[in-house]
Amino acid sequence: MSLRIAGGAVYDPANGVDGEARDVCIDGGSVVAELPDSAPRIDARGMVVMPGGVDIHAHIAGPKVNLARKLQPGDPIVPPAPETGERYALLGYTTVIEAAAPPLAARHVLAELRDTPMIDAALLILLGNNVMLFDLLKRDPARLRDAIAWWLESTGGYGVKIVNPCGVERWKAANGNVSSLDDEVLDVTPRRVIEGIATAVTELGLPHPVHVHCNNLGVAGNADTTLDTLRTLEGRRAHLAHLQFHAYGGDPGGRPRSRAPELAEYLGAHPEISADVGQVMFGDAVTMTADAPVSAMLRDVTGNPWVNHDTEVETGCGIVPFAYKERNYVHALQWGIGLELFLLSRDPWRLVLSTDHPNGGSFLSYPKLIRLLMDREFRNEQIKRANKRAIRATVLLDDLDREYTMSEIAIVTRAGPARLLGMMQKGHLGVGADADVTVYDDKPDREEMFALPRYVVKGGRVVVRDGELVERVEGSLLRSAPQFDDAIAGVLERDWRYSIGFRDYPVNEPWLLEPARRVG
Amino acid sequence: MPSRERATCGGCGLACTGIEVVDGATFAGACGLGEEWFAERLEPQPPLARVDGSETDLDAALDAATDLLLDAGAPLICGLTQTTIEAQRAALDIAEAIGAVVDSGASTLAFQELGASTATLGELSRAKLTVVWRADPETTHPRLKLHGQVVTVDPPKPAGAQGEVVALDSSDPVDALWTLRALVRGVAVTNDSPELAALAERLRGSPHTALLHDARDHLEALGLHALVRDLAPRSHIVTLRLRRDVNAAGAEDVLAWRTGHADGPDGGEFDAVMAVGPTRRRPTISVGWRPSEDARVAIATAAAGVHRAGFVHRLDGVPVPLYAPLPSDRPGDDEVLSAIAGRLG
Repeated sequence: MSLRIAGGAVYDPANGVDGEARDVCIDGGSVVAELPDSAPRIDARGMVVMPGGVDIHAHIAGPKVNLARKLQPGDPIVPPAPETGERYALLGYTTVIEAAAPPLAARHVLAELRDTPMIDAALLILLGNNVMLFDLLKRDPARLRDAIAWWLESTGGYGVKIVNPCGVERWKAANGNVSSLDDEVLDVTPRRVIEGIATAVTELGLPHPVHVHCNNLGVAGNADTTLDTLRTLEGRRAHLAHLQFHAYGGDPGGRPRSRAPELAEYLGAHPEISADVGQVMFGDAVTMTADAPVSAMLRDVTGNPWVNHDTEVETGCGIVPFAYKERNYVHALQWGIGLELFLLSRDPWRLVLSTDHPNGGSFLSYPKLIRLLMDREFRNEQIKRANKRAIRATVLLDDLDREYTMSEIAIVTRAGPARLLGMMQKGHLGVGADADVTVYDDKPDREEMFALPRYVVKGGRVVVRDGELVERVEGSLLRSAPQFDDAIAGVLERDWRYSIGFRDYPVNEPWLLEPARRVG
Repeated sequence: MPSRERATCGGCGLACTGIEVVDGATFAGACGLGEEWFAERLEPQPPLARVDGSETDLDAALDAATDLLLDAGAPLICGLTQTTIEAQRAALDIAEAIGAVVDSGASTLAFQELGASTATLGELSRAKLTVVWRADPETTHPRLKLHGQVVTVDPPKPAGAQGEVVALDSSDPVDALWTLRALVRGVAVTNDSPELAALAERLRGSPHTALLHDARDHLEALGLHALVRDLAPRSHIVTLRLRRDVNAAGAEDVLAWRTGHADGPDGGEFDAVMAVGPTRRRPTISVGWRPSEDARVAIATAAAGVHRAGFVHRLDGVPVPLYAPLPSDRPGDDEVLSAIAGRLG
């Protein structure tokens, strides 16, 4: 199918296009330079044209998402798989990263993705508490690289996620956690795990660097841990997940304050580091994380239903439904810190938009978040409604009057995430890019504008027209293609510690892995 | 050289991997329950397709099933717990096409109220105390390893129970659970059972506990989850429900991700019942390796795990592949269901 999207204001920051009226031509699923005049066209004059959105960090499929569905049947924050894909498409998002897939459950995650239409998806697999990798790190660190590649290849994975390294293992062993990068767990330390895995991921040349959920999430004073993690990573590329949750001052157990300015400063000065914000939005959320000790803390704070699921060898899982209230000091502070990070960010290419869906709020709240960034007046009204002590603990009232431009929004919602993920065919509209395009009416109310795209094109097909879903398309699995020494299989088989057989662990069912595209 | 094929056992919820099928007949490494499970699937099967008791070809049976489903005002799809995720997804395709109710066999009411703390099988080895609550894993899940000190509460068969046995004097296990909760919390309560008091002490003192049960009753499940919640701040405690059917967890999971809820219907009248595998209901359409003989349409498919591959979510939710160590010229139930879905779509 060919299509000319004619005369819209095109925002394609990866190609230096900043709102110029242009035609975007697509043919056979890709952006092309030219089309005959007779090709079908969409008249996009007066509209805004961007690449399809790319969500770098969300929880959309797999055991923990599904446990949350069972915990709260019908909750719109954790929609069923088909609706998840449709809702993303209706917002103009066409690529989503499932940011915490347990390798042992890869078949489950992939099966859910097969029932999640409309979007291309990729998995970050959880390796930061894998005790077999801990063993290799101690015994034969040179093998770590091959082992990580084996795990990616065995699960259809794209990238590597570390969540509270060593802390989750200590939780499963004894309800414990770690509090510093030098706490010893099974003769390794968080620092050693971070260094080892980050180095291995760098050496493998994966398209996305190691994706780190730091230790001490949510704890007052955790900015020290975050900065220690950053210094440990120094010189290596890395992506920090939901930075807002790791940007707190104060003392553990005490009242948190904001250290967002310091972290924004650090990020600005270190081009090898990127992050997504993990903005919290007032209203209902569901916290779900591999960081199970955090969930136990939330259980005790809220008294809400709590799910814990210990996953052998490699990870944990915790779920607690949650609501962020604007009058609550901590919640308002978290909200404020997220906005501080956005507004102080020097480089939108490296600090991109997320709510850590559904932890900080649903992805359905992205349009409101975009308005908070683009519309100072609206933001100031919202700031007035939030807990005043919390807001005073931030710099939001200190003339932080920045408004994101349309181009910056295009960067933090598509061009930036695609670049950080190393997905060269996503997030831009240059020739050869995937024909994933979103067309918005240029409405002054930016929330309304981004909530209801006029057209969404996925893989060259018009899937949304006038805000309605008009075609259901299947997405592709995006996988990395690491090269590794097959001899690692023998090493892993010899020391296999799972309750399922070594040969039964790798996913090889074609329907789970196709259609897929290798990246990098 | 004897031929050796790899298999996974579907004899219970454990879905043990690493079974070897030697010369297409011997199942090396399976327990008694597993050997029986494999042997049943090697028995001669009924004709591939029957409609109203008469043998027919597959196409005619598929057409008949499709017509029955289309004519139904209130169709139900049930069974599902002994087949693969692939077949469950295909069953959901049918349900979506005709608006059928799906019975996953699950009830998550207690889970919705409190959540749960659970673990995969490999994590159970950390337990210093394993409490078996009114279950008999030696019979139902022979390969399940119990770790640490083992206490069996109110075993269905006291003679064969593992570890120490705590009999419940009270006839109502829910009462006993509430007493246990009070004892664990240090709340004064009338309790005439020194054994229950001793169990409460052990639960309080155990740093790491596994609680295995097969509670299907809502209140009993709620009591167990509440007990776990009481203990969780002081002890790492995980529970595991000893589901019997190899893919009971998968039926619940697939329904949840496809529709946002996991539970079967609470009552209801249905004018057409399509069963995938065994069911307690009387099916109108029966699809499975040994379909119900009195169904109007009965399709005898290749048996998952012996003649047809796929995967299941074993009792702890972990996906495990089933293999097809032996050949079959029959279609799998997933293929039959997909063909019906195709006719409906």
